[in-house]
Amino acid sequence: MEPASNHSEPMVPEAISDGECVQRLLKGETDAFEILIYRHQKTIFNLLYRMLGDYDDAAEVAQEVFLSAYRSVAQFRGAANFSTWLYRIAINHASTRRRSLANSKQRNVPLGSIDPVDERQADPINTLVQKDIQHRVQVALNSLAPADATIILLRDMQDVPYEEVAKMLEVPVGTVKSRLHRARQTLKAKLAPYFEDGKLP
Amino acid sequence: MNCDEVQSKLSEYFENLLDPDITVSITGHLSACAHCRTEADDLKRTIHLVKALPEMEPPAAFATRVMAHARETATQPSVWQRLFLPFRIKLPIHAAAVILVSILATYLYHKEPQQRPLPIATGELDRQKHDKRDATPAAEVPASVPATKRKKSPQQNQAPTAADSAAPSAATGQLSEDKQVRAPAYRPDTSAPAPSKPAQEQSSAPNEIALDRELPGSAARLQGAVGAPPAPSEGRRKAMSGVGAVSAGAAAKTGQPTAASESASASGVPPDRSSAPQGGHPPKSAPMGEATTDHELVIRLRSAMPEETLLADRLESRQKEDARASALSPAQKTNLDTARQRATKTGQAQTLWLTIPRTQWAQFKRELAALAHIESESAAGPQGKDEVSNSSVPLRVKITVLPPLSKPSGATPR
Repeated sequence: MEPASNHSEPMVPEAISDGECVQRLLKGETDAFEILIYRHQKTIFNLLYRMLGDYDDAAEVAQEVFLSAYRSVAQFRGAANFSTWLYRIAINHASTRRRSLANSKQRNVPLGSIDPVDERQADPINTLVQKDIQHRVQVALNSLAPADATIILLRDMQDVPYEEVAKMLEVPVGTVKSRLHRARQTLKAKLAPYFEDGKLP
Repeated sequence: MNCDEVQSKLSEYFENLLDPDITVSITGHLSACAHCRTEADDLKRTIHLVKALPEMEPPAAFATRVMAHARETATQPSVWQRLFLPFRIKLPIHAAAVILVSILATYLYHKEPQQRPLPIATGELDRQKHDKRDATPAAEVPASVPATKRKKSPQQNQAPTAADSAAPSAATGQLSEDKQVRAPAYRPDTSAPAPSKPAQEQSSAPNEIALDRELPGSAARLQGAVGAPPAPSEGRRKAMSGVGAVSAGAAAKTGQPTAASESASASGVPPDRSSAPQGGHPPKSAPMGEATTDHELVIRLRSAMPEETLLADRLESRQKEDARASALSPAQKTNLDTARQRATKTGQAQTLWLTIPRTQWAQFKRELAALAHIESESAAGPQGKDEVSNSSVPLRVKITVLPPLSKPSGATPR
């Protein structure tokens, strides 16, 4: 994955921090951005996927997020964490897209039809059960308010530290904690029937 | 702790973020309270379900595609980027700019003086203009002077002057005529009201000719409107209707000092007229004057110093004021002087129109000869050149003032 570079020192991705990539980028080394993409594409993509409930939408928005970051990298002073800054862009794009999706059509999560191949297919029955569970959870997430879904995904799915979440959402840590609890309660209420049915572990 | 309190802290409890004693307290509560225990279990399962969501792989070659787009962006100059902010910022800025520009345009449009380029010979129009003119305080004169000076149209120069009423006695009829004739001409927004010349001026009444001052003038007019006493307009109006020189004089008296040096010759006359000549007169008056020219004279200035001549004229006019022996009114003299000065200064021919009673024609020519050499004379109208009929209809004369030969002048008799 070593990007081509016309500079004397070859870029070794693992050795270059986010901050350093940004510095190089600001000096005109466009290729430095590719390192940042590889480093963060999975987390950003997954956040978007779970926020939007649709693979293609997530891919499209993810590209927009990275390009937006590329164009505005000059505004990223480097003081903040690049990851935090990138997440903030992603959250904004996701919220916007979620609003327009809600207005235009019902978001539905195709049951496994578009999802990439799951390694757990070795166990077909379990896989199906798993997919069913995941589907139900995703539906419940889709029905949450964007802010609730965001905070649950950041904390519970991606284990982003409280301090970082606070920066991303631009609220105090205490607010993050209370909002998170309320969001979990809401999600719990939506999933509770399935607990009783035994459909969800 | 009660159930609500416990349930509100469950999230932190599960993440071990609470103080040890509170944690112990909650643990104890949960073991005792089935309701809270169920809630706690459900909450725990919810969190685990979210944690168990599989991690997806982004589309293949995602990074490559993004980089391809990024490199396209990179080739565009960053200045472009700076100039054209993200769309959502650019559009409001552009919209705001359009709005501001249109507001400014509207504001300026309304501030523009009413330019009356079209000659509509109506007495009404004249009256209106007179009123406006009257409104102008003297202070405007300086403003109007530079404005008029900008318009260096030889023709215009004296067009208004022509309107100067001739002898006061003939004023009445002339006035209305002049007025109407003049009406179309640009009216100066009110060039400073002429220095009032007490009493004798009545003839000056007509000064309808207002030169359009354009913006400065209009500003002047606005200012004037503030300070001008209504009396002058009143006076003017009367004069226009030919009622009275006196009113004109009174009007003039209202104390509007004319800053224009050329108007200094106290010819209280038509305020606008006197100051008008100084500046460029809009060409508009020309056509009008020509239309009614009965007689044409082309005179060549002598090389005598214009100032001296002016002084001489002033002395002469002062002497003759009361007697009114001169064929020219002080105002007309002023206009003539102005034309002369301009011709001398600019080396260009100046044109002015005067209305002379036929009975004064000979005297007029004598006086004119004192100033300049009459090069040619022609009758534009049906009358013969030498006809000095005793009709009471005044003679409308177009005078072309040629600069002295000592000055290089490419001017041709207009």
